[in-house]
Amino acid sequence: MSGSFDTATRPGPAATAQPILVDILDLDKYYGSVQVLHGVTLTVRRAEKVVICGPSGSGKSTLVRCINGLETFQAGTVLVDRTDIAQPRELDRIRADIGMVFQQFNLFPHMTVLENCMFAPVWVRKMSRAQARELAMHYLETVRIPDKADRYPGQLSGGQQQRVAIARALAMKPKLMLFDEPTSALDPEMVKEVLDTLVDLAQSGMTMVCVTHEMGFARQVADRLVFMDQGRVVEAGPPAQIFDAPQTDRLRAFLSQML
Amino acid sequence: MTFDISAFFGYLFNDFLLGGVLTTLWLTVAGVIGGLLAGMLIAMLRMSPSRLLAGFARFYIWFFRGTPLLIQLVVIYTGLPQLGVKFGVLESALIGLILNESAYMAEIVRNGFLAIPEGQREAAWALGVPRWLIVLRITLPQAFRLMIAPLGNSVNALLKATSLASVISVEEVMRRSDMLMQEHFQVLEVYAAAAVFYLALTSLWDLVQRWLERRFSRAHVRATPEVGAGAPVLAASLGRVER
Repeated sequence: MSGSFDTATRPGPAATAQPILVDILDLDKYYGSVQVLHGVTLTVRRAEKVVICGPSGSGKSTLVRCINGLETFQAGTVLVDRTDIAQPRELDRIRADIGMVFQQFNLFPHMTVLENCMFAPVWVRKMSRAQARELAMHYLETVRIPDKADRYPGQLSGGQQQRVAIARALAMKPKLMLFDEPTSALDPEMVKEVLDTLVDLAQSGMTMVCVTHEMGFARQVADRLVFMDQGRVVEAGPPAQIFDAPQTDRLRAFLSQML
Repeated sequence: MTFDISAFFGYLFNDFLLGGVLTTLWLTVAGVIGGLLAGMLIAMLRMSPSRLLAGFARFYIWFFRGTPLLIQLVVIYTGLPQLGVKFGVLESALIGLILNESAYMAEIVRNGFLAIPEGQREAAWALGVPRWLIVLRITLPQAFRLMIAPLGNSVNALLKATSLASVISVEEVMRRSDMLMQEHFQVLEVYAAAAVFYLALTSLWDLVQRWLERRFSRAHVRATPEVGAGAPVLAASLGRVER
């Protein structure tokens, strides 16, 4: 009955052997005259789980939104699967291969849960409705919410809506999933059901870039933790290193507030 | 002189007047559809990044909302021929009604779109949905729900504003009432019947509007509490109260 996250790639024994999927080089981003990203460089390999943390205003959401072109930037490059996302002609095609989950869910309120999950497969992937329905139901089962397929988003709890949003993104069979604070808008009792879904997804081998304040989750799933402050990557490394042997005062100060 | 009830009822079933009702009805329907389509176009221009197009739309709205429909109708029908541009009676009425109505509709459409959270577009972009499809399937249906109430006001106003077309001799209810009045001098009886016709038409529109509101708010009706995922949460909150 229960579906599974069948992604194309399984996590390899050595993550470094995997090809680079996201290649961000020297990214500068301004809002007007305020610089919010300072020469950010970050690579994400296939099947890798990268968790980005940092204080609010550190530019972590902006960085993630640059990966699928929701934000423009003034200098540097972002390559996703070796395609430059700054090429407007390619943007829709690249975006179709990148799943994104937002803090505020952003489900389409006028469509049922099933229609939300079928919309892009039908209109962007040109799948038949029957095929798309099967696919959507598969992922709704994966996020354990198939019984809500005919409900409207407004009739679901926040946690349920966020799981639908994950299913909607997965139905496009993305190469990469971006999460922008996926549990920050949830009531405390609903955080766990969403985090459990993310852990399952991580274990299936999906490539994930996740902005979150959930440090327990970060320690559990991250291959690499990236700490950002004031628009810069301050430290990056495996969770054990970041949590247990922070190199900078800024990270130590951040961790002392979070844990 | 008294109010002649039987004459009043006679006018209610007067074929000549009922013919006028039909004209009023189709003028309204054509005005609404034409005004809505043109209004959408003007709203798109108004929201476009091009300053020239947005400026044109702004001028259009300012001009046609800022001058009386009566003047617009008279200018189109009797003024423009002076410049060599001639329209028939019905054409003039339709052009005037649509120009005027579209200026109001444009603002209603624009307000509807502005109320859609940016996250809706972003979610669709992130799925690789092309822009035209986002408007058609994501933002327009949501904007339309928000447009129904102001649209209702506008249609109601337009329905009554069609009576102004009587001035350029369109034979709708008002014009034909005038004609009957001049023939029989039963002022109260004729115009009371005309008022009843307008009331009937606006009431009919109320029904249509209510149906539209129901149709487009299906997604926003909260389901009754169910046994399922909601129940444990409810039980948990009750448990908290008991403790």
